[in-house]
Amino acid sequence: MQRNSQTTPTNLGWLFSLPAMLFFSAFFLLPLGALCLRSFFETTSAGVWVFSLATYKEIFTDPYHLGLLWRTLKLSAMTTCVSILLAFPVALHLRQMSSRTRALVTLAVLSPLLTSVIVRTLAWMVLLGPQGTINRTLISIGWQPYQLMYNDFGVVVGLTHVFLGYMILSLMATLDRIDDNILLAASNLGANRWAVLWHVMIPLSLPGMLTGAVLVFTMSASTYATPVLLGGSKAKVLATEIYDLAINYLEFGLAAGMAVVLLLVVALVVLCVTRFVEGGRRRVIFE
Amino acid sequence: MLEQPKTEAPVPFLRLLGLQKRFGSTAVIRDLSIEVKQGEFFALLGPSGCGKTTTLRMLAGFIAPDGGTISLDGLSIERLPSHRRDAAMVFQNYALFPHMTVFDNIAFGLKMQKRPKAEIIERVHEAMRLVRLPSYDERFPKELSGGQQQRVALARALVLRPKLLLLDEPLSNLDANLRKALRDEVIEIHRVTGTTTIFVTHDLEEALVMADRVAVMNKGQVEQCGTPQDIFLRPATPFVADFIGHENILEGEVGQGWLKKGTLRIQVPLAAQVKSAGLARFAVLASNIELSERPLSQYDNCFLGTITRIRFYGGLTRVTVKLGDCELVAQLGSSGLTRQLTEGAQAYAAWASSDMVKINTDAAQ
Repeated sequence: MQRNSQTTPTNLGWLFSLPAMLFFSAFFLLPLGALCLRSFFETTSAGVWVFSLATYKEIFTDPYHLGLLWRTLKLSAMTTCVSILLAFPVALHLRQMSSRTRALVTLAVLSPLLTSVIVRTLAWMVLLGPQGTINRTLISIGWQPYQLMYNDFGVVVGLTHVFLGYMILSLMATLDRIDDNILLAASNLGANRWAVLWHVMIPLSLPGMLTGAVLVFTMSASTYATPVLLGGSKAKVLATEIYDLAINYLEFGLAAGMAVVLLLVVALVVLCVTRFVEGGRRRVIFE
Repeated sequence: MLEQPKTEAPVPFLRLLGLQKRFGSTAVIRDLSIEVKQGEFFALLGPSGCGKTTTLRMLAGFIAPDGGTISLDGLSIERLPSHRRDAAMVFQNYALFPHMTVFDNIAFGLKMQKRPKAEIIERVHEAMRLVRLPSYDERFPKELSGGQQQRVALARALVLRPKLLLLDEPLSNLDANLRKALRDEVIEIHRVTGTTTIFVTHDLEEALVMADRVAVMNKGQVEQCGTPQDIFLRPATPFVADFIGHENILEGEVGQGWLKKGTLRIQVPLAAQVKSAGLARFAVLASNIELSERPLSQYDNCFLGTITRIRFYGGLTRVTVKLGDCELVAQLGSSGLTRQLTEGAQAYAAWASSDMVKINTDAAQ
């Protein structure tokens, strides 16, 4: 806004962003505020609303709820790590491709986002299910079937499939900006291929890795459909629990409290990781 | 009679032999051979697209030649990867590591060699002193000026004490004054370290001032290789003469000590004998032509002509004179004489036949 008012002679920038801001306030900020408030109140038997921290006491003392929070963070972190490991080689490879091939590969990478979440997840169920393609193949060659879904593995596979594209795009954006001469200089100064990767390529791609990680982590932590279908009741996460509490048990206070906890914890994790990585970039690498 | 055993010629420190490189269907380097002595400051000079940067990149190991050999200090290096060549490069855009401090940038090569920490610190600071870089250990490249970044790039290469230092137009991104100052510093650094240096430039003056020897390149081949004096005073081919800025090239029928150009009969050096009567080309430097209102008897070539153009450049003045059907450029100091000259006036242009250089007409010398 401030920048806008400096560059445009008429201070009308705010007017044009008004529709979006109104929409955002009415349908996001207000409900979020209401949700927040709701989690701090409970009704007495007489039907009176009173301020109470009972919701949060329940969340933070109940091992079941803490376990769900832990699992949510763990699955999101695993998805983020797997995405980085899978996306980095792809982005590195895309860097050297012609723009035509790049466009095609980019499209392929983003194609999961163009499919409905239900179709995509059902497809994974067909592959990973107890009677699924993979297990039937294993049985037919005389192996034991494996538990591939209704556990953490299934959820991480499903989440990585969806969010990998974001990681690849973020990494590509930073890798593209690395000057080829910098890599040649490193190799010319005596760095072999791995040293170039470790000392130059990876440090210089950290900003993109961070952007991608924040996107993948937050989306993984809040996604609902994939953990429900691939995790089932055995690999529940906060998002599915919130849904159950609100829709099946009408426990609105507890659902609201858990939503607030999820929001704050994810925000805290993102903040800490960002701080840590940016601090590391300033640090002198030579100890 | 027995044949005398050939005495082994000393192997040059750096030898490029029959190098070839094609990119797609274009031959960028065609049969390039250069020999460089140890400790020499050698310039590859030529217009853009002549293959000089490709040659440098083949030396650095960034591009593999399609044919030919490169030997450095007795070792064949054309198949070695860049990180095992001992040929440190300074890039045109410096290519400093943006995420590392000045110290880490310079220390990078030594760290790759896993040198002890104390040695690294000592050698980095020694290199920083050598390139006259203030103690900016903790700064990042983007916090430095262009000239300082250039010094970091130089220090980063020199700290390794490489057998070969490769400079890719290292001064072209700097403004004119800084370029001249750094030019002198690079010469001084070379004098102190004695590192064999290959220097790529398209700037004639830079090559002449800095290099011990210059190879003028054109279309992937060496047109002429020699000292700056050789190149400037005795251009071997029309391309070199043109690139060096010889405007005065006289082509005509040639005989015993003379050249016939239109109505002019010009005295040429007798030593420059031509095999048979025919066409020949001679060049004469603009600074070797004198202008006067009276005939100048001390020169064996003196012709009356018309001044067609006068250009004042500050320290010097360039005057174009039309003699018969050819135009010559004379370069004069800005003395009293030039003020009397006017466009359209008549003047005598005179030069000594001994200042004329014969230029080979065929590219192959």
